Amino acid sequence: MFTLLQTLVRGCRSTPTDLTLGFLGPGSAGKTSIAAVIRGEPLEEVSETIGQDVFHFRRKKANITAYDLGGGERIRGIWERYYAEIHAFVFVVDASQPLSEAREVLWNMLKHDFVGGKPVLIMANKQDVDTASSAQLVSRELAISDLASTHGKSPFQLVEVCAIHSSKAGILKAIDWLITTLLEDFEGATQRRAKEMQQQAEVEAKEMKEKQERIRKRREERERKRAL
Amino acid sequence: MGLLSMLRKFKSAPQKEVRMLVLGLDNAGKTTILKKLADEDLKNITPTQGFNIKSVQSSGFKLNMWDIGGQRQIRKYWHHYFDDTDVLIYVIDSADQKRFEETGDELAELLEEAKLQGVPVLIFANKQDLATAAKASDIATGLNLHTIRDRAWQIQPCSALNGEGVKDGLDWVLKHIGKKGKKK
Ligand SMILES: Nc1nc2c(ncn2[C@@H]2O[C@H](COP(=O)(O)OP(=O)(O)OP(=O)(O)O)[C@@H](O)[C@H]2O)c(=O)[nH]1
Ligand SMILES: Nc1nc2c(ncn2[C@@H]2O[C@H](COP(=O)(O)OP(=O)(O)OP(=O)(O)O)[C@@H](O)[C@H]2O)c(=O)[nH]1
Ligand SMILES: [Mg+2]
Ligand SMILES: [Mg+2]
Repeated sequence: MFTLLQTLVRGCRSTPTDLTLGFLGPGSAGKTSIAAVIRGEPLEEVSETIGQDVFHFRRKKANITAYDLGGGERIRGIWERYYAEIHAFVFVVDASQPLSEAREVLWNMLKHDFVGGKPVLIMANKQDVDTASSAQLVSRELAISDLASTHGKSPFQLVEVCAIHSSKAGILKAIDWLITTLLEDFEGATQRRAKEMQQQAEVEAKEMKEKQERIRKRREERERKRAL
Repeated sequence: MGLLSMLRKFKSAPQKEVRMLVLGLDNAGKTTILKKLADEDLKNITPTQGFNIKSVQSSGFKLNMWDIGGQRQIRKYWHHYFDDTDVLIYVIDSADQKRFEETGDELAELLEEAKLQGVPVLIFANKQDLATAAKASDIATGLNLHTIRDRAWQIQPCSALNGEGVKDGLDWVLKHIGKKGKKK
């Protein structure tokens, strides 16, 4: 909680150059691999993320904090806790696989109040694989044209990437679109984010209080039993 | 990259000793996990009254694992062990859902410790052989992991008894050593 509060305070104070991105998408789409390219780390055998990784980089004079979250079915539930803090999304999909799951995950995400309207960069990853769908196909499979007219009208962009062969410069160039789009109305984005983070903090605080109460009751009960 | 090649990579790194702090409630399986990692006999493990240190040496790289007793009356001594921690390993009994919030509460206190700021956190969701597996996202919210934003954290399901997942957890730890989160 303490850490979230710190983050919240930091969020409210953010100068125009502090941006927070979220790397989301289904499990094994390649989020951690793409993050490794940006971080300039060797692409070694990555393992499934069942939690969070966080990294920082600078781009277009912006200090960027990026969350790389687990995308597997059993961990995806944590995403919504991050939506408020995230300014813009990088949604990674495995273009070499059927995209029905990815479509469902993307649509669900955009339905959330704290997501719709925020810019989304879709990375159609694994273009090195023979069976990989092109950007055009991925766009159709994900029904992006429909999305753009619903759920808060998030600005979209779709790029083909390959974590194995794309250069760091190439990946960052794609991300530039996200940053530029955000900076077009950074004032608005900042206000929206502050408001949502406030709301999120209230939810968390309430949950925390209830939790503490339950723990206290259980402890008392145990001690009563011991006394008997 | 396998564990061995990972360890080899660290051979050239200046920091050859890694301090891993292993905490969690009593009966979570901390001592059993460490014995498993050290390839020791798992029989006759009793509740830890003070602490154990297990060192796993490989390719000139030394992992010092500090296993502290988790019984309620011992927890107040945990703070004596915080200094210079590289990684926090927090073990939970996944089959004991009744105590999720209690263990989450202890963890939340740990995360506020100045000495543990930015230290990557691995959660061993132990006893998967018994557990009617709780979903990772439920463990995360139950333990308030989602409020940790300044560093990497990971939930590793495992069973100390049959060894599943234990080495994977260590792999994660090795990848995240020296990646302390940004200090604010
Ligand atoms: N062929 C190919 N494989 C890739 C590419 N990018 C990632 N992979 C592989 O896909 C698998 C999953 O990659 P990750 O980066 O772990 O995927 P993730 O999206 O972080 O997955 P979660 O952490 O489970 O959410 C790994 O085996 C990668 O090596 C790519 O561009 N081409
Ligand atoms: N079924 C099952 N039992 C386990 C597992 N790991 C540990 N146990 C059992 O859980 C009990 C407690 O294990 P310990 O390793 O002593 O637990 P601890 O966390 O060190 O406990 P304290 O030292 O009191 O803090 C023992 O009876 C172990 O055999 C597991 O993966 N599966
Ligand atoms: Mg990942
Ligand atoms: Mg013990």
